Formats: sequence, C-alpha cells, structure tokens
Amino acid sequence: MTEATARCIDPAALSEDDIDRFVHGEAGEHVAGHVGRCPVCGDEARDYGALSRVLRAGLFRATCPDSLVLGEYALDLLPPAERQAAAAHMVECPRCLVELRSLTTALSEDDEPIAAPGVLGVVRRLAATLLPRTSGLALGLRGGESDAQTYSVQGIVQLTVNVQRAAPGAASSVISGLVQPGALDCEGVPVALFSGDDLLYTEAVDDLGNFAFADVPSGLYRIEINVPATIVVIDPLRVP
Amino acid sequence: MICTDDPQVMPAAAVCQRCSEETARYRRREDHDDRYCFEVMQRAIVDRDDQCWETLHAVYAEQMLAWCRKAASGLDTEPDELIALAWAKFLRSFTPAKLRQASGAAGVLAYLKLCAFSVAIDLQRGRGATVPFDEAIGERECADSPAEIHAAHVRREEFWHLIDAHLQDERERVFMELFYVRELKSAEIQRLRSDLFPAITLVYSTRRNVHDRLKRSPRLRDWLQRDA
Repeated sequence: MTEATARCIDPAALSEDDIDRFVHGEAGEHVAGHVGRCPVCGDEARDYGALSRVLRAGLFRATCPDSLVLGEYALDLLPPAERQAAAAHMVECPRCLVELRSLTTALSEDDEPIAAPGVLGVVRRLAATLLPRTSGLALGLRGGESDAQTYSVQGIVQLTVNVQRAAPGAASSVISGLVQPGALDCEGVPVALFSGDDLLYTEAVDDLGNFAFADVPSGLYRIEINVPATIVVIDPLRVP
Repeated sequence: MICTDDPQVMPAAAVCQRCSEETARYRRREDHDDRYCFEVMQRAIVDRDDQCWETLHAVYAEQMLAWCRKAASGLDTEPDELIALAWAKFLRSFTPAKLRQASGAAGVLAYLKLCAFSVAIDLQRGRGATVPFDEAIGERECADSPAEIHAAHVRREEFWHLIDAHLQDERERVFMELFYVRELKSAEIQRLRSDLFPAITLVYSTRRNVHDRLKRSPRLRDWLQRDA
C-alpha cells in the first residue's frame, strides 16, 4: 500500500522563490491568495517561516565584536590588527558605533561621588575648537578650500572641514574633512555624522586623513571621530 | 624585625590593609599612594591570590555598585544583577598581559568600569533582537535576566558557527550577514552589493538555496531539538 502524496492545487501559480518571498513579506497578493488556499504551500510557508524566525533570532548581530572588544578599542588596549578590524566593522555597523560611543562616554565621565583613583582621564572626549580662518591648512582637502574651517583639538590634532553644495543649486551638501597628521593615528577609524542623537552616516578616515559625507541636507550637525581612547567632537557644524 | 613600606615585599594581609586605607584617604581627598592597590590588583590577577581578590571586591564594591547602577539606568534591570557578571567578566578578560598594559591602578579600574558597562550592553543586545532567540527555538522561559541573556549569547555564537558551516560561497555568506545579522531588506542587499547580486532575483534564489539546505540539515535539526 502506498500513501497518497499531497500536491499543490495549482503548481503553475507560483515560481520557485515565491513562497520564500511570501514568508519575508516580499511577494504579491496572488501569492498570498494561493498560499491561503493551498494546504501544501501553506505548510511549506509555515516551515520556511519557522526556519526564518530561528535564523533571524539566532543570527542577529552574531558577527558583531563582543562589547568588551569595543571597550578595549575605547581604552586603546587592542593589538593593531584587532584594532583595525574593530574600526572597519564599526564603519559598517551603526549599532556597534553607537555602543562604542556610549562606552567611551561612560569611561570618560567622572565617577563622583564615589570616585575611583584616577579612572578619569584614561579615556577622553575632546571638543574641537574653531580656529580663525587661514588658507594654508586646507591644502590637500578634497573639494578645495573655499569654505574650509579649521579646528584644533587641544593642540593634539588639527581638523579642516569643508562644506560645499553637492552641485550648483543642489539642496544638499558634501562635508569633507582632513585630519592633519599629529599625535593621533586616525587611519581607518570611524567618523560619524550626528543630527542631535541620531547617527546619520559613518565613514572611515582614509590613509591620507580624508573623510567625506555626501548628500547632507541643511541643518546643524555634530561630527565625532572615534580614535582609540579619544573621541574628537566638532559641535556644532552648520550646513547651509 | 624588618619593617618595609615596599608593597612588593609586604605580606598579603598588610598590602590589603594598606590598599583599603589608601583608598579611604583618596575618598577623603587626602594625599594617597595607589601603589598598594595596584599591588593587590597584581596579586589578585596574576597570582590569583584569594585574599587580594576578596580585598579588591570589598574595596571597590561600592564603586562597582555605582557603575552598575548607572549602566543599568533605563534597562529595567536591577544593578545587583549586573555586579556578579561584571566581576566575572573582569576575572575572565583582564589577563596578566592586559595588566602589563594598564597604566597603574587607574588603568585597572578603567577596565573594571568597562566590564560594568559591557554587561549592560550585552543585556541590551540580548533584548534588541527582533525575535528573542529563546522564544524562536521554542524554549518555555524567555531569557530576561543578565545571566540568562549571557547564556543565550553563548548559544548564539555556537549557532552562528553551525549555520556558517552550511554556507558554500562568498555570496551566501554576504547574504546571511546582511539579511540576518544586519537585518537589511532584499532590495537594500542588492543595492549595497550589486557586485555579488546584479539582480534582485539572485538575492531571492540565494536565500531559497540556503533555506532549502538548512531545512534538510540533520545537524541543525539535532541542534534545535537539543536546545529546545
């Protein structure tokens, strides 16, 4: 005796990927209608759905570095290769960058009223100070030097930032920056553009010290450069 | 009888006592010498000296509570729950090599502080998933306490290695990373990695191939049955 094998009520109705797309909310109404009517395809969709749910739950942020690795980046304790890997990951992963920022902020804050000896100062959050306009410092900056502004960070490092329209008459602008070589090694580190508390874009500082954000609408922004043991902050930055 | 103030040659009991006294001086904003606390830290971390480890706990208990209280704010968890995990993380991660890198007691305490905030981030990560892992694999209880979330984190790492072993090429790995790890939509994946997915249909077929393979995998089935 052989068992009858259940069959789809209309095998021609769906393509190979349709049930998978249906499970992920990417299929049209005709697929939903068919899955609703056909017990075989309904079962298959439930199986796919269960698997997808397990994968989504189990793999979420599975390749993100441990939070302690982000903290060791903040404390500048990582060996060079691990430091570069962490920086490269954070350029691509806004969630990790936000966590790095919260760790760096926590580590740079005073511990009053129960102060621990000397923790303060191990990690720094440094505000950049706008310098009077000069022209020479902007040399080498992408996009020219017309509106470049130069900032100093406690004499440790100098930053030049230029804001230019993306194209003549365009509504958005390009922010380009140059970190002058100094005491801080910035190559490959994440640079983040914030509007209030919202992280908008992340880029990496290249080997020449450049970074750029394209298509930035007018408004007030904050730039944060996440060097190990230090966050350099430019706030506010006005984009006309 | 030889009397010395050199922390490196003092008996454990004496150096622990001096560490407590110097910390109290620091908190009263008086002149203090943190060499004794650093010596206690060294003996606790490098020699695994129990008395020094207990002293470290006692001297910085209040400080640790303050850090965990701050780290736990807005997390709907009790700071006490973070404390044991933070100390355990410190014990596990702060190796003698890191001690050599640390700039005295301040560096060690910065790492201890990091551990307090790190366990709070782990807690947030565990709760941040769109679908809780324990729920998805059919566990009866939802992992909610820091200890349960830590256990779930360990299971999740194991799960990633299991899934990764089923992937056949770079395209499948990139798909899994972007779709499940970073939760991007199919269209976003195609836009971001058009080098690997010149058409969106390739995103769909990659997903279907991986799903079909995983559905048939006895290893995955065993893992899920064992873990549920």
